[in-house]
Amino acid sequence: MIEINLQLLCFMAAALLVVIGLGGMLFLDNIIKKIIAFTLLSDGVNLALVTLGYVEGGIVSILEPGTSAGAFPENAVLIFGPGIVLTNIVIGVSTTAVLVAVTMVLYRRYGTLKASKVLKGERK
Amino acid sequence: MDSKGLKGSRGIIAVIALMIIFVGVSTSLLQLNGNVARGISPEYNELAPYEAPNNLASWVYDYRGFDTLIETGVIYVGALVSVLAIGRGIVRVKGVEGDAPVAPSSMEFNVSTLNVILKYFGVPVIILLVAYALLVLTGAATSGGGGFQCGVIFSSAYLLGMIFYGRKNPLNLSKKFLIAIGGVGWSIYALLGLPGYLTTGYWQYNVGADLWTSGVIPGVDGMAAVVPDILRQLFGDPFRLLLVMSDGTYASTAGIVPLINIGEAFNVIGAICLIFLVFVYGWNDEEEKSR
Amino acid sequence: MIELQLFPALAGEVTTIVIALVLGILFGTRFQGGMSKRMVGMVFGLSIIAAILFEAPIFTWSLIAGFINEDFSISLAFIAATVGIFIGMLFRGGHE
Repeated sequence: MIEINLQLLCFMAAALLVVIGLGGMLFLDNIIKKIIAFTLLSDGVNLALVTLGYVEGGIVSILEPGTSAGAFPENAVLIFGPGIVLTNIVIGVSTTAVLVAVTMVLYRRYGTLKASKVLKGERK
Repeated sequence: MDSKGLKGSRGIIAVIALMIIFVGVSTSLLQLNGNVARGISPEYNELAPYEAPNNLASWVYDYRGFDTLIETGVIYVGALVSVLAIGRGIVRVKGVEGDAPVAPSSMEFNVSTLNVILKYFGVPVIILLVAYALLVLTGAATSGGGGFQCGVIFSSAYLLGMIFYGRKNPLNLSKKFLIAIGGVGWSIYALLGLPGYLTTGYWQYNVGADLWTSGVIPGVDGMAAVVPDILRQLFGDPFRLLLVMSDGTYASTAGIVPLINIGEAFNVIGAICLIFLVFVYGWNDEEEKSR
Repeated sequence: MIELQLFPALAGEVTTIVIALVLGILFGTRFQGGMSKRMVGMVFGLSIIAAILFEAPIFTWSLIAGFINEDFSISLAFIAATVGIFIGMLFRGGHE
């Protein structure tokens, strides 16, 4: 039997987000909804990366006045995951901006946001 | 695939496929539960407080160095592609048959029907948001915050002004200003790292602290004290931060982190506000002249 | 624990306030449109309330940085940013 702790729950939530995002991207017809599903998938990946730094009974990796600097490295959460997530957030912002821009171009061209109609080349 | 086609047996098949994917993803992630190799993180946790109390700030600005500078370039690529796609119309998506495009319908906000109270409280909220962005920017070394967060809060203030007031945005940022502020940010980031590299060989070495406290540049002989004593009495030591811990007091070199954050924040403000400007106002040269 | 003191300011405590003031002036020049005196007073009062809520940054121990005691401190960087924005608005001719 697996012991249930915060890390396990966060991993489950990350897996759920990734699957919801994947399903939305595959099965939803509206392009805007596809973009929202894409950001959900990206958030799931971020959550998984942050959860990798989990330390049992750990503290935030910010020094506070009066604590012991010697005991800090053992208790602080692992810093690698959040450091990588920062890059991922930036890339997510740029990707979303580009996706929305392309969506606006498609809307001006076809007058619809339905991916099925855009793929068939139907006009309004 | 049309969502109407998912009603019958195809919908059941899709749900089963998603369940299989979920089981696969979750089992592979659960294998990591409690098995994560600590890697370099504990050693970095040990060293990082000597740079700044916030470990993530030291990670971003010291360990990753140039990477963070180029990372903001990614947002600029996003802004550039947005401008190209919807602004000037240089890139045109060719239709399948090559017919004339559908005429775009108006996408502007209807500002005139906005509540009076919202309009009255818009300007104070925008001013306070900008001040909050600057607070987050300056607190990067000691608390969770930094240049990117400052840029995002500032951009949200800009977007708020757009939604409340339309073209009469109280926070009036022109395209030239945004591009200039981005360029200034890049040069701040690069130039603040250079003095430490040229004198000591370490990227972003805090030269200012040595210059201020001892008056000697490390690695360069024969440099006299340049900071007068009265200035030191008045301002203390702006390039260091005094950490009072239970096992003693020591000075970190956090002073350079807020300074480098300014460069990062300028980059992000320039890029994200440019994206908002293109999406809402459009990128049109004739309009710029008349404004 | 270090005693409350006025001069000299300890390490790194003035830097944030000066940066906030200068950047506030820079962005204040980008504001347009007029503001009444009542509005300015209201924003200033709100900023003081916000500064009390945000508190001084950790590892500041002198009155210059807004540290009064463990439970009550003022984030002077926030007030400096607000004041900087108003000064910048004066430069641009905010009261048109």
